[in-house]
Amino acid sequence: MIEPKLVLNKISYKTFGRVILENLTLTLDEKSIGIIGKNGSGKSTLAKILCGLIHPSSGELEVYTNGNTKSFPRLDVGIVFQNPDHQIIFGTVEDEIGFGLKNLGYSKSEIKDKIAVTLQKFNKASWIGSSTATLSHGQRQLLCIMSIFAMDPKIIILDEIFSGLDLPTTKALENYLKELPQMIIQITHDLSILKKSDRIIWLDDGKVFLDGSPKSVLIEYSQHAQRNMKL
Amino acid sequence: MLALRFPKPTALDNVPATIKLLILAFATSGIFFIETLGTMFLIFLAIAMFHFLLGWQIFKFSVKLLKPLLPFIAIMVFWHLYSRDLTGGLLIIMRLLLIVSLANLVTCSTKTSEIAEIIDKILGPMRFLNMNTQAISLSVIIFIRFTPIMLERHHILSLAYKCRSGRRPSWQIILPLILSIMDDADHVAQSLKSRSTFRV
Repeated sequence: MIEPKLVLNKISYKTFGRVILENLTLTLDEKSIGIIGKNGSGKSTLAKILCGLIHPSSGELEVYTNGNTKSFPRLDVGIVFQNPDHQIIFGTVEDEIGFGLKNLGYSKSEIKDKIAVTLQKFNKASWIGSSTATLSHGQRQLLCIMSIFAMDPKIIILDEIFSGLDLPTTKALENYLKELPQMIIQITHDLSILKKSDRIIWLDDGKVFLDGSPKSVLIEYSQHAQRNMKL
Repeated sequence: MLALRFPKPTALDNVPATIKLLILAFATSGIFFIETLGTMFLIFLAIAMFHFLLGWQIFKFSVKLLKPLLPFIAIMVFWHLYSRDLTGGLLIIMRLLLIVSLANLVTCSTKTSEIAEIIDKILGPMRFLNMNTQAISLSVIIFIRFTPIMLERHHILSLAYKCRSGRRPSWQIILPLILSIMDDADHVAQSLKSRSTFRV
């Protein structure tokens, strides 16, 4: 398999006269990348640009998957949002997982098979027929991950998916994520989750403040946070 | 999170959506021809019994879904007391209860994807006019999704108002309610976009 790669070329994003991202030039090709930074530093905006939900005000995004180069991610980059209630649209687990598959053009029987395979992969075959409303917060978050995973994107972006989850649920989700073959870009405030990442990018005021291995960046980030405690 | 979906699968889930929707359409039209309170009451009892047969949990869930009708029922009772036509009022109330409970029965036991498929089929000819029928079926699904969410947001905002005012919520929560629902709409739009080819 050719490794996927995202290349950001001088990407900026402005909204209502405010600069959210400024001149980001990055090449993302590691298997697991963490994005950190304080609230309002532009992390989620960057995530939305990377998966094509919003267009940058200037600059270009290049997406390399399967040896092709594209300027638009289409469905090759999946995103899981912070709040599963914002992501889940349908009333049943099958409908939720099947939605993306239908849009990828799969036939009815293929969709059914893929839903079964996905649920099995995550050991949740018993969820067939369940109402999405009866699932717990952590289970709903897992359903969001499964719906994206089923579409087989080359890259998955996780936007603060652990916030509001208790420790056992976080650990369980982490174990599922470890098994995923895709390239994972994770935005989080929980630094312990990122310790084993290949690369950490620290955003501050829409710019890259520090970029490197978890060892160097995470320590620096914690110390910086200690020194600059304020609301 | 509330949803217009029974908390567990029922025998009704296995009935094809087309049949359920057809029966619902005929039953709803038929209800308008019933003129006696007694018959209406009997039918309502039968529907209640049917829910009961599906399980106590389903029964409780369906009763909860009828709760939002209470303000309307109250208005109708007052109006018909004022106009001294309580029997007429009760007829309308029973009609409302029957139609809503039947519709809930179908909505809560049918996958939204099945409903969407039927709408797609009905609107099929419009595709020749180059119209995007998926957009129409999706809006119906989103409407079904938003109804319980709106009620829940209203409940949460009422609680937030009550716990810092000690009074029942007034019109002041209407604007925040609208804003919070618009915010939710924005999130749903992104969720749809992220998994489909409807992109900016």
